[in-house]
Amino acid sequence: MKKWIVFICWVFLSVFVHGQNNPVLYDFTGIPQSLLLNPAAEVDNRWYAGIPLLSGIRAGAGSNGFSVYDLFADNEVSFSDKVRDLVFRLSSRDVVMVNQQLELFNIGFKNNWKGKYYYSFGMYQETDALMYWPRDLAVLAYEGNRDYLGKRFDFGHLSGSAEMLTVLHFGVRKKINDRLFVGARAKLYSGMINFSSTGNSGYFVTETGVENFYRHRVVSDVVIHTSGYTSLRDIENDGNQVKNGWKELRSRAFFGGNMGVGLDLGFTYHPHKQWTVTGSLQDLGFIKYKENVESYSLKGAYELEGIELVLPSILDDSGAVRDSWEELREEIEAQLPYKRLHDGYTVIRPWKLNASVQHAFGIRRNKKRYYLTDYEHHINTMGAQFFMVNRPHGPLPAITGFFSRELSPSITAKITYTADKFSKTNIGAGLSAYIKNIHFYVIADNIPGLFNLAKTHYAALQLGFNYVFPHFGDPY
Amino acid sequence: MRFQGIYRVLLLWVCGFLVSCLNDVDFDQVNDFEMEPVVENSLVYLEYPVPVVMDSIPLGLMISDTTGIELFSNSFTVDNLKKAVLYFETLSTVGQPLSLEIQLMDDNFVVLQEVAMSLPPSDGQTEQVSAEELIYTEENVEQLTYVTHVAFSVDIPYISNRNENAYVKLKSKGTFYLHIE
Repeated sequence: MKKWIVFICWVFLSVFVHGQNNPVLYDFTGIPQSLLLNPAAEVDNRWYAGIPLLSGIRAGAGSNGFSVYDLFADNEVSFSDKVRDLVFRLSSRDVVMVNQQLELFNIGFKNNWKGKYYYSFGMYQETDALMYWPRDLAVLAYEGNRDYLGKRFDFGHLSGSAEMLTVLHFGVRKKINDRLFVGARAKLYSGMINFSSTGNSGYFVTETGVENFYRHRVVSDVVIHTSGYTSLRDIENDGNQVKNGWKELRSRAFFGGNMGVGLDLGFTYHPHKQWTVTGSLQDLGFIKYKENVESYSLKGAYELEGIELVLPSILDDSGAVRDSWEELREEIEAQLPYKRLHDGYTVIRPWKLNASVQHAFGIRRNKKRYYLTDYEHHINTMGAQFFMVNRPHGPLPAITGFFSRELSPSITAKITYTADKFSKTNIGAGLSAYIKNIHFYVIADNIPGLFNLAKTHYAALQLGFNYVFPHFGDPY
Repeated sequence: MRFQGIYRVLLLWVCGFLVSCLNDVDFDQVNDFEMEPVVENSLVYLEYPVPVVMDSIPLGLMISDTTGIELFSNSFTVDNLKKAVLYFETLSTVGQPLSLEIQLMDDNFVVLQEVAMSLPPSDGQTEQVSAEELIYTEENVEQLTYVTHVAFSVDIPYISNRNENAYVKLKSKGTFYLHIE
């Protein structure tokens, strides 16, 4: 039981609520990884290569309706009371999401000095998880049904998915003219592990009965799909479970049988030399899981008022003890069958929509040689971004305002303010710095929260190193 | 100098992050977790239409039924049941006094608990009701977890005046107080 509680807590606490929204990185074209959010991002260099395993590391922690401190504060309130508070405070619309990415390699280059085409390709590992708070099921488990006669405990509250996968991708950006860039990125997904339970329906209710005190009614259409879980479950408990589990997962990272395809599309458009409009649609695709699949299904309906005694030992003179319990069990299994299935299933990737409009302004005067001032190059950018990710209960939108500035020719900073369903106080920042050809970047979301993860609802940090060969603008 | 300043700020930030990110929390509290749901269930029930039985069997006998029931003895109940209340109610419109008995038995049909109820004669219209409660506290709740069979018996007297609406009913429910750690 405690393991179960620890697992639930881990899921709800080690998560990054804003999931796949990365407002600081989007359109931060000084960072080559911005191409992963918009294949038409105006990344301008001759070529770049991410330092393997270090070019993009993103990790976050947080929760939606509560903080670590709410649950684990070292105070006089008992842990059970804190859990009880959460059970009733959170609603079935509260959602937690995890999105972690680790770049394995990432390379990009221009086709020539004119740069009509920019190619980029690479591979990254991603974890994406989402779970809605199963409020009714939590209340039923915590309180029981005694005080809830007539209440339908909704099985639809059980809704979530989690997957770990690797993505091999290849993207191309085409310069249509000086104002318009378009891009596309093809993706090949390899699913490593997946849990998926969405679109469930049904309920459990206890009502006043006719023949007996209560009538218990179950109507259920619930399915939980898993892939890659059973082989982890079967790993021998010999003290090396974590090591062996990770080994098992890695074996599926490269074309392990659960394959899928996807597509990113994007554009960058300059309606005016100081104005830019961008947009992208990511992860239009699916994964077909067919390896190591085990699904659990409970579909049907049953009403029960208890075990009916019918006095047959007198009526049929058999004198035998009836096993009404066994008959009841068989009847329930016939009308409300619980099945383990091993059929493959398909998971649609959650698509993401990004859009921005921005205005560039400000020039850096050359104080020593004023005639060398570049009046065409603006060092400040201000604008707004929009993000939306598709989820089982509907899209989750976020809106961001940002300001970025070139602090020096080699250092650029960006500050964002993001508001969405989860937070109205998310201030993020990013820094992109070059030391010769070595590029380093660091991005943080909800910076105040990073200083006290316990009390914040979420925080996230991303950093990476690249080797970048700049484009000097001369023919080569 | 500019880079040094930036790196100092970054270093300070990372240190602050590591030191202060999880102040004042105690993760060991998870070991203290417990919840106490209260579950209400219907148990056994019976509707005994006296005229139908009169046509099938000679009256003046005691008739009974015994059924298996694993509700109390399954591992979840054994591990988590803290106390329980079983409530039995019998109803009759039979014109003679009735004696009824409910027995809770273990795997070997050894009676662990008995509930005896008697119902006064009914005028045929008024429903006579008798109710009994079995309360299991923390001290004796273990006894309930051995129950695997329930028997119900009723003494049917000789009935001279046939009443087409006469019946005997049994209703029962259980309130289970669980303590889950």
